[in-house]
Amino acid sequence: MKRVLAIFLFLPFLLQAQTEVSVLGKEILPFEMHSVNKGNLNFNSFPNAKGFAVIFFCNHCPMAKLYDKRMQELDQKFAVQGVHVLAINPMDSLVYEEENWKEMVKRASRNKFVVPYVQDGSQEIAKQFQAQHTPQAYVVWKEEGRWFVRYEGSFDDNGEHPDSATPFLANAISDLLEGKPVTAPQTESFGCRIFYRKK
Amino acid sequence: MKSRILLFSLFLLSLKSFGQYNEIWIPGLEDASTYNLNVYDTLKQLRPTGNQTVTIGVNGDFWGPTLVLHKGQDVHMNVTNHLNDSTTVHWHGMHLPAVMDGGPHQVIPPGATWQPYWNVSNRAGTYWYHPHLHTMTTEQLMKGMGGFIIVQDDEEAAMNLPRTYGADDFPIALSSRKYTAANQIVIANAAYGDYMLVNGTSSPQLTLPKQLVRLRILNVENERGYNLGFSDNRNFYIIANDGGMLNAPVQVNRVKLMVGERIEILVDLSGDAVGSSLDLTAYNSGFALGFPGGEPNTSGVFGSLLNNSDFVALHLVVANPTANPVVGIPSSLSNEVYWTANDATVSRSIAVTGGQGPVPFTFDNTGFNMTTINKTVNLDAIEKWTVTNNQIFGHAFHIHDVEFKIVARNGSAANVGAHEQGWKDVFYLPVNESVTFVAKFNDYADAEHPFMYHCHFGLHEDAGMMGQFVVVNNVGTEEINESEISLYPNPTQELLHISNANLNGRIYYVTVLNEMGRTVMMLPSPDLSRGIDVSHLSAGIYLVQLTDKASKKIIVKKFIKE
Repeated sequence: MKRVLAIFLFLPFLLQAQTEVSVLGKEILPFEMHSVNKGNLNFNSFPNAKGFAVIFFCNHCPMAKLYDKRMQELDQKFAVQGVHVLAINPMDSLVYEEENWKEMVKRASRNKFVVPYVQDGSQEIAKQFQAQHTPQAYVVWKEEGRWFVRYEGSFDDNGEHPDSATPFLANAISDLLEGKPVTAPQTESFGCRIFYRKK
Repeated sequence: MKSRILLFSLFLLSLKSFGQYNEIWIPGLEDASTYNLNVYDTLKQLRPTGNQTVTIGVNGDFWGPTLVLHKGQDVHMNVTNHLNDSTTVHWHGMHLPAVMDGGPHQVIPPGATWQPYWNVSNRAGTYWYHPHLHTMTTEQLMKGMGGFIIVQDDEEAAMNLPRTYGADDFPIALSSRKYTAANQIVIANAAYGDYMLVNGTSSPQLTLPKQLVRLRILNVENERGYNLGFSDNRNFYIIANDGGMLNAPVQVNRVKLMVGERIEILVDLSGDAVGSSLDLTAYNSGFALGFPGGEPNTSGVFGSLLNNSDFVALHLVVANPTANPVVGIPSSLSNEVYWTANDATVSRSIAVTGGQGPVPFTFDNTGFNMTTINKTVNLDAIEKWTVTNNQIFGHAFHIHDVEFKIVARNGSAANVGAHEQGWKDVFYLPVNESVTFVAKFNDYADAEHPFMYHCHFGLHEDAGMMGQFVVVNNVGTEEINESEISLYPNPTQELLHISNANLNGRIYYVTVLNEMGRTVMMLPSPDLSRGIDVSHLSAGIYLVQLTDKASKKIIVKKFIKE
């Protein structure tokens, strides 16, 4: 009996600390994007789009920093097939100076971003996905004119060694382009925590 | 037969070349009067294969440098927060003003530099620094934020003891972690780790010289206690606990070390063969529920692969001795005279409460509240506190500001362990026990800024098993008139001075904000006769907030940095 008590001791408040929230299958409402390198965009800015790889991303996080090149390569591989990469920075730029517009411009220019680097100043985009980390990846797919989350998780499973990583995100896109259900639709995301501004 | 021998030899060779253990990282030793500590979000390859782990490092990728402080010295800290979250840095065990203490109230926002300073009055011993941001302590500590502090003094320097850092004197931070499939540290719903992590090293091993060595051991777990011994059951000698050197070494072959506690031990390896090995083992099997880590579960919130088992905490390998090794266990060490229960003029009782069903553990049925002062202590009072635990689980009780003397367990001095005879700042409070300690609250009165007392289990303190006390005296100070204050030179390039030199000691806090309103410098109780060094700030307009010690009124002034 005592053991049962011990198990229940912390659960109520620990559950609040749960970080992984699944939005798999959820419909995503199209959103407006203000990018530092490609102007203002929305889903209609990509006429051939079958889907998007939405990657929550930021300047500061050391794990995100490892994915600059991989994001561009992914876009170069799949954009011609109608899947575009969107890098979205949901960090609070008032609290974290390094995440401001000027620093985002620098990052996009220095690392030759071909993907739009979008500032999600209100954190509304991140809230739709309930994103928890940077980097964190989603695939939204167009089905009968609406957009649904078909993959959520990480870009791949090795930050420093892309050659030995399993490319989860690319595999999910390939599955969808072949008209198949995604083999591994959900993987663990990891990186720096996104803190949401209290209203 | 020959092929079997060959196979066996190949097997041995493979063990050697793919070593089962990794030599532990010994944090760099820094000996200075000003320390620059930069707290970073970073990455480290903690697992043998696969992904890197997101960590927090102080001047590095996990944990931080070992800081040497000298008793009597003024030490200045520049702590810069490069995290994408707020943090605090608490100087665990240090006797210092509350406003320098780094508890939950001294929040350092991202991008700011906090600049506390104090005169080191602690005795020689092993202390440490770690985050203390309320509700975030577990996460930041588990990610690796912290470091050792070694205080040195003349008394200890005169003792015939090993003290060559990294050669015959080693810091050992015992801990364990649980990892996700992507090699990330499990923070939520995890009281215990599955795999040892010592000084940020997995499968840890330490190579020691064949001689008398000194190990400074810190339990930096979330909750787990360690019942430590050596795998051959040899005796060892405790020479110091939390607050420094004991009066004489205590010979033991087991010692319990709870979260936040430190011991310094001497172990004699002079009779061991070079190349031989032994383990520092946690003899944690057979404990009833209530001993932290005694649970039988291997999974779930309170589960762990290490629970209720004897496991290797640190593998030890014996190597060649150093030149001129220290020989012999001293028969005596210090001549400390301790407070007794009779010295106390004030008695207080604290009961562990909660922990039933969905209710978190608390003290006296009151969860931690940043704005509630739970105890008020008079400056220079000697007080006796009795903490009683009639709940279902053990705890590690810690108090800030003072080192105390444990005078009784369950009301009797005879129950106090031989290993906890010295000054302490953490004690193990098992189920159905009370602990009575005596402390003198001297030197630092501050009616506004509190010190903490709390359970040092990360999950417990984050959930509110914490209270706060202020130390007060009745000496009033004169309120500052705003017209007394101007800043010069203005504009400035390096130093900023405040016009009225008589304000020294009357300004409680100085905060510098940039034009965006971000805090960039935090100076608790600054020494204004030195001026404020703003040379590192980029050019622009800044606001200075000066808090009047007497009225706590905030006076705001502007300056231009060129």
